[in-house]
Parts: sequence; C-alpha cells; structure tokens
Amino acid sequence: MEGDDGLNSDKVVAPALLALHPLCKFVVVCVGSQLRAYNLLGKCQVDVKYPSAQSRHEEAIRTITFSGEGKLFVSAGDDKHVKLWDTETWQCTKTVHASKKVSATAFSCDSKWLLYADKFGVVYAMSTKLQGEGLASSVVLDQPVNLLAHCCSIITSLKCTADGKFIVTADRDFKIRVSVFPKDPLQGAHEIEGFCLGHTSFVSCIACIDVGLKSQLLVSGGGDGTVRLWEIETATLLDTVDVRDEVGIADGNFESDAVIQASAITCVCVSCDGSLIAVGVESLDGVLFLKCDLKSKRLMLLQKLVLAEHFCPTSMQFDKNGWLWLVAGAAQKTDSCKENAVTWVKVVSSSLDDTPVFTPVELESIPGGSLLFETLDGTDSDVNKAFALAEAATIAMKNELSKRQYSNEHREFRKRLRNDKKLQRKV
Amino acid sequence: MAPGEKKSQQPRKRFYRARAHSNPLSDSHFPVPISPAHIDWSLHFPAFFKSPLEAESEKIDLMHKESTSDLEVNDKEFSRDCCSEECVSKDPSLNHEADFMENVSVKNPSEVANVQRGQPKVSFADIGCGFGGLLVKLSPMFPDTLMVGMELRDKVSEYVKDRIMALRKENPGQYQNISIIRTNAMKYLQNYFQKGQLQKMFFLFPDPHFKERNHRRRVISVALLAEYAHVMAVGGILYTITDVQDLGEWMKACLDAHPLFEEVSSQEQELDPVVTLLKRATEEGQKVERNSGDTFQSVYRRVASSSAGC
Ligand SMILES: C[S@@+](CC[C@H](N)C(=O)[O-])C[C@H]1O[C@@H](n2cnc3c(N)ncnc32)[C@H](O)[C@@H]1O
Repeated sequence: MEGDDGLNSDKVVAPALLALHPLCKFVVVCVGSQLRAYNLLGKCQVDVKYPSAQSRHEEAIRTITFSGEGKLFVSAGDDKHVKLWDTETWQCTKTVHASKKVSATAFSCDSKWLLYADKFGVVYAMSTKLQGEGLASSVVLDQPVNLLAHCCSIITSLKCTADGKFIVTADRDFKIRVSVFPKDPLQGAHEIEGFCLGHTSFVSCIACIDVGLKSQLLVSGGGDGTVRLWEIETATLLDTVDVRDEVGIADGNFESDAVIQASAITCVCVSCDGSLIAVGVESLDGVLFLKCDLKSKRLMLLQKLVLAEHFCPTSMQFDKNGWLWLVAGAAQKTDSCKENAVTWVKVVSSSLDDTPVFTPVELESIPGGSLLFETLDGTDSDVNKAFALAEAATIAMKNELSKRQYSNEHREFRKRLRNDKKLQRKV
Repeated sequence: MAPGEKKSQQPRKRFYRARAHSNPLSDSHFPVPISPAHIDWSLHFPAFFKSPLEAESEKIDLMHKESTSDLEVNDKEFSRDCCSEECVSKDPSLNHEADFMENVSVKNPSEVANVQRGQPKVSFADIGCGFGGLLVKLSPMFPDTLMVGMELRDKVSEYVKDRIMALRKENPGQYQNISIIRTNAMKYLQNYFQKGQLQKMFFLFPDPHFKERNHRRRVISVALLAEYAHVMAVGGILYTITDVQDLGEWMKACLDAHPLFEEVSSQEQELDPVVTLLKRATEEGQKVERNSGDTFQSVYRRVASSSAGC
C-alpha cells in the first residue's frame, strides 16, 4: 500500500550506499538496483558495462567495496548476485550466484580473494583471478568456498585487516568475531582469534583503523546506540561512547523517549590517518564526529554537524584528503515494479588539526561540480523524500536485525497452545 | 539413579514434560550474558565462589552497595542455594535480548572479574545435557572441577536444576560442582566461556536431524567446531556418541576435516575413565542400551594450530 509519503509499506526499502576509490579516482553511489559511478579525475560519468542487459542487478544492492589498491570493485545484494568489476574498464568481469541474499563483502588485503557473507551467516571466499590468468583449474577455483560461519545469524559487516592477519565479521547476535586469515582460504578459516563482546544489541557496522599500529584497532556501531573501540588481536574493548547521550544533549531534548529509543548507529567510517570517526545515527539529521586518540586509545565526541535539515546519511566514507563523502537516501520498488530511488550526496572537508573544523565543500571545489551531483543523485533528490525513505530503510534494518518482541500475554498464549502443556494438564 | 539420589526428593520427569525438539536455529527468548565477564558464577557454585555481594560487604563500601542494589535478593539463602537460570535471569547485567535497555543498571563486569580472579573456572561442558545424567556421574569423579550442562529446552533444564538442588540437599557438601544453564549452545557458547577455558566438552546422543535440509541444525559441523575449538584448551578432549550411524559418521567426518582436532588413540581412550561413561551415563544412553542398539563414538583432542594447517 502506498501512503501519502509515497512509501509502500509492503516493499523492501534499501539504503543508499557510497564508496570511494582509495586513490580518489572514482566515487560510486548505489541505490536500489542502480549503480552510479563518477570519474573524479576525468570529471565525467562512468559508463558501467554489464555483460548484457539481463545481467544487471535486479534487486537492491546491499554492499559495495573497492579493493585495497582500487583495481577491483564488487557489488552484491538481494538478487544473490555477486559482481566483480574491473575499475580500469568498468566491465563486470565475473558474476557469482550466491545461494542466499548477500549482506556484506570485502577483499583480502592482497586483493587475491573476494569474501562475501550471506544472510544465513556464512562467509564465502573466491579467487579474484579471471579465467586464463594463469589458473591451472579455473573451474575449481571459480567456485566460492565456505570460509566460516556464524551460527544462523545475519552478518552485517565483513572486513579484512590491512596487515592480512584477520577477518572480522559482525552479526545481529551482538557479536564481532575475529578469525585468523587462513594461509589457504580454499581450506576454510578454522581458527578464531577472539570475540569482541560488549554490544547489547545487533552490531550494524564495523570499520578497521588501519594506520600501521602494532595492534590494529576496530570501531563498531550497534543497535544499542553505542560506538565502541576494540583492539582486534586481543578482542579487548577499549572505549565506549554512548551516542544516545550526545544526540540527546546536543538537541536539548535528552528527556525525550523518542530520541533514546530511535538511535541505532547506521554507519561508521574512519579517516585515513585514523584520528577521526564519522558516525551516522538513526533519525539524526547530520553526522557525529568522534576523535580517536591513537595513543590513549580513547574516543571523544567532537561535534555534531548538521548539514541540512532532513539530511540523514545512510553511508559515508573519508577520502585520502580528509574530505567526508556522504549519501542520504534509499530505494523502494513501486507497485508497478519501478524503482522509487532518491539520493542526496554531500561532501564535507575537515581541517586536520587537533580540533578539526568541518565545513561543507563548495560546489566549485568539487571535481566536475554539478555534473558530479547530477550523476550520483540521478533525477530524484527530493530532500523530504530522501529523508522519509532513509528513515524507512533504517527501520527496515532494525526490524530485520532486532529480535522479535513478544508481549507476556502473547508468550502465555503460545505456551497454552503447546502440546507439552496440554499433556501436563491431562496428568 | 546415582548414589545418594533418594526417590522421595527427586523431581519427577513427568512434571517436566517437554516438546521432543526445539529448533536451535530459531530466535530464542531467554537471557544471555553480554560476555563471560558478566556472569556471576557464585549463583551456580555457591560453595566455590564468594558472591560479589559477600565480597562487597567485606569491603563495607556503602557507596558501592548502593550501586549494586539490583543484585540484592531478600532471601539471600535462596539466591545462593540455587544453581538456576532463574537466579541468572535476575542478574541485571544479562541482556534480555532486544529489550535490554540502559534503564537496567549494568553490573560492572570488572567488579565481577576482580572478585572471581584466581577462583576456579568451569572446565567441563555437557552440550545438550538433557536430563543431566552425565553431570551427576561426573560430579563425584572430579569433585574439584566445575562443570555445567547446557540445555535448550526450558522444561528439561528446569528438571536438571531441581535434580541438582535435591542432590545438594540430600548430600550436604556434595554435588556443589555441577550446574545447569538454559541456553542455545550453538549460538551463545562464547557468551559463557573464555578462550581456551574448557578441558572437556561432551556431545552425547545429540539430536540427529535426519533430513538433509535440517543438517544445519546439527550441533556438530565444521563451522561450529571452530567455535568449540576456541573455548577449548589445547589438549582438551571433545567426546561425542550417538546411536545413529549416519550422524556418527557425520560427526567423525567434521572432526577429521577440522585442523584443530585430532583423534585420540584407542589405547589412550581405554585409559580415560570418562570414555566408559559415554555409553550409559545419560538417560538417552540408557535407553539405547535397553534396546541394545549400536553406538558410534568419536573422541578428539584439541590441538594447537600448526602454521601449515590453518
Ligand atoms: C537427544 S537429547 C540427548 C540428551 C543427553 N545428552 C542424553 O544423552 O541423554 C539432545 C538434547 O540436546 C538439546 N539441544 C539440542 N540443541 C541444543 C542446543 N543448540 N543447545 C543446547 N541444547 C540443545 C535438546 O533439547 C535435547 O535435550
């Protein structure tokens, strides 16, 4: 049913995603089944080439990632297709059919392996090599292999650490698992280094702090409204920032229950030097910036930046110059199976001081200026629609990741229907 | 019946009738501790642990007492005596699934950790312990070792709890080292045990889940063995037994495929007093024996990762 706001309560809503090439060659925005890429060096739209019209993504794309050196790109999602792209040509070079919907992807630090996780908690690995690239038995190597699994839990985020040592996976059961990256992924990842336990709700996002520290760090955000800092190797919780306090205080309405309950962390990202963390929070129109002190290994709230009324980011990433790229938006299929997709891209610069100042980047300073926004935002970037859809996407995420709540009456009712209870009454 | 189990005091199974099966893959609605550091083991093993409350009162720190008042149970004896999930669920630090909110004051895990540092740790776990027969047999064999059964079905775990309470009452000073946790061990093992904590894990007569599409529900799989290996100490032993040949072969194949497990030689198995218990210590085992059915057992050791292996 379509409501006044154009939202359809029966159809899947998927948040818009953004990915930046590690050397700032490209910026990609995905919304629904659409993949929009922009060449930042050539200042032009990228023509992404699917092998055929039939091989486009049919359902919402849920995860996109560039490989470490930027040669490869992957897109995957609800249509269970994992697509590997060559960013030199933007040809889709390989499509793998996953057995379940794909929720997260990552490349190994040497880009030799593509990892993807599905909604049943299984992580697969496949070689990124193409047939004829010196593969003895490409048929075998082309098959994704089962790498590891979280017991029947949705994996929300998947990362490989830059030092090549670990695979980090986050799930809806409040867990972050650190697995040893195996010598031969085709044999599986059987050794667990540790579990980062502390979140009191689903873990929605994780990001590695890869700045060549002796002990690698990880940031995570969860449905419990906290951002946490961990040491990966020892799975130690180093610091916790409860964003609910911050959001509430900043708004001056700390008392309001609505603020306290609707504050799942939707996305986190780390600046290239590891000192800044940007956080997206459910229904917060803006970004929270945290400072990460790499010496004391503590997090500190810097500021809440409001970019525009109703700009509630769904995905973001820092580039190598310290700019933060954000997208707000989502997509939903209409009753007539068209896609209602709205996105809104923004760029913020930060002075890399001890107390950084954040300012929206002027249109003139952005490579290609308005063409970039035309490419990435598509035809529809209605602010209010973007907000409504992004909200709906977050709620959809929460519904999927939260445990179903049963009232006591409901539980009692179910119990009465159970056979063992009937038996007992007869006794 | 174990020695010391008097018929009169024992809970009767027919009052704990449960469904034959519970799906281990569906969402569950029991409390789960946030991490092993959040567990107050003194509720399970009062004879072995000082409760944080006692440790607290020794400190006579009123301020502190205020902050942990959630833990104070009027009937202190009751809380100390039972080894139950009930007590555990009163623990404010437990997450009640999604309804865990900050209005529930969290017990400071470091406080519990401080009190429990240097104290014994649970080192045996019986996964899917059913009615608890194995625990009752093991208890007098390893009087200084703490062991827990983990059981998914609430009725069954309640039975085990009452059984242990009755045993403790009838045999003062005994059966203090066994307890029961109602949980889904396939999902929440890491919430209870730290890395390398367990010396022995038991999987006796697990549910067979015959249908191929239900194999994902099996409690032993290559993927889950990684999690079991994680909570086991190097050198620890994992015991499995079943009367279903197909499942026996499956479990052996999984263990053989996992680089962190190695089969224990038959000579060694003969020297292990625990091995002889596998067949008949549990209720399920006795049932199989009554019907003189075949059994298939696998006993494997947790080994260190060889740099070549993984
Ligand atoms: C066939 S019974 C065997 C019980 C006992 N080991 C014996 O030998 O008598 C298997 C038990 O495992 C329990 N179980 C199944 N899956 C479980 C899980 N994921 N976590 C804990 N218990 C589980 C079942 O509820 C059942 O009581």
